[in-house]
Amino acid sequence: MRCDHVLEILAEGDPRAREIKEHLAQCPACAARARAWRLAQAGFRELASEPVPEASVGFTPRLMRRLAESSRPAPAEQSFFEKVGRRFVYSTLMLALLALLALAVPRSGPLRSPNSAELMLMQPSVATLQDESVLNVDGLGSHWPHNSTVTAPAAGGQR
Amino acid sequence: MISKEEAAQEAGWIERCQRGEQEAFAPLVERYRSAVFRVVYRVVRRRDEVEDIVQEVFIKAFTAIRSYNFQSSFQTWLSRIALNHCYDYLRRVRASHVTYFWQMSEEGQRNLEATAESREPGGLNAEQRAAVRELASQVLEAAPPADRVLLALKEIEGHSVEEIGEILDLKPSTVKVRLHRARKRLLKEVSSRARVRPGEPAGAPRP
Ligand SMILES: [Zn+2]
Repeated sequence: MRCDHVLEILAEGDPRAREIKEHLAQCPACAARARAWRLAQAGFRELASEPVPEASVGFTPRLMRRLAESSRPAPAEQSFFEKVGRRFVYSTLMLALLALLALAVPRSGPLRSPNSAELMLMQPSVATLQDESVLNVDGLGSHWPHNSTVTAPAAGGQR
Repeated sequence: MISKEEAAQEAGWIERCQRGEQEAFAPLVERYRSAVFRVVYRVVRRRDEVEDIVQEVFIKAFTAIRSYNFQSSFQTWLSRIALNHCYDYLRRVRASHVTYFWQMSEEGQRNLEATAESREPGGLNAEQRAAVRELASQVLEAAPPADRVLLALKEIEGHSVEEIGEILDLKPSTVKVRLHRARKRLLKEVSSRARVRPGEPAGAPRP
């Protein structure tokens, strides 16, 4: 049996698995790894017996106050507004910015489109916008990595 | 497990919350507060932060309560929100480089080695138990957030792959694959930190 196969079996969870016993008896490196794994498992058991902190006095009333403050108007409408409203505000701002840029362009000569340097200046703000809407807008936080695309950031490379 | 009457009562509270009645949320918070504290603490492991995070989890839960469709238990649904929130939190903490990385103390390392060499890992003394606890929290701290959520559920809370799948809304096969990968990363981390001397074979039969 090869060492990388032993690693696969260890990663199934059991450092005492029968099929690796023989290998562990002969291979110091894998034996050390198996032992480290057992130590970590003993550590996890220790963590499991650690007492969990409890809510401090007044936890629920405090929460209810926060809730009342954070959700006017009613929760459903608010999340809808957040979603549409925020995007609307940002896109309006972007349009205004573009209009300003167009006005700022020298009158002489044909109206040119923003050059690549200007575009590069603008792109990061667009990227953070997208990022934010991906991360914050959905109530459930449903961005938990679902398929194989684990933690790939939504707005990474620009082109 | 909650009784039939309690379940009916709970469904009433949830439906009222779904109509926007905030007062109906308070009894739900009271009922599930400690369960959420538990989930959050196992993953985040920072006593000073837990209460704040739990508050945020409940606020998120209320905001999203219309999406609860009574398919899974309310506790499962809440745990999913809590874990998603912990995951975000851990990513944020990482991104802002506020990692709480610490080296194991000399003494801790010595105790760990003594533990590794002891014949019977069951009978650990107080120092050795502290040393393995230190080791486990270090490797969890170093793990990527998604790994950390999975490992906390599996290795600390002892949930089955199926239960984890239900909580995270993932197929058990997906959980299995990710857990395997997470453990592989953990194994490398743990071997480099534990510095267990290669020598005495661990798999050798013991008296
Ligand atoms: Zn080997």
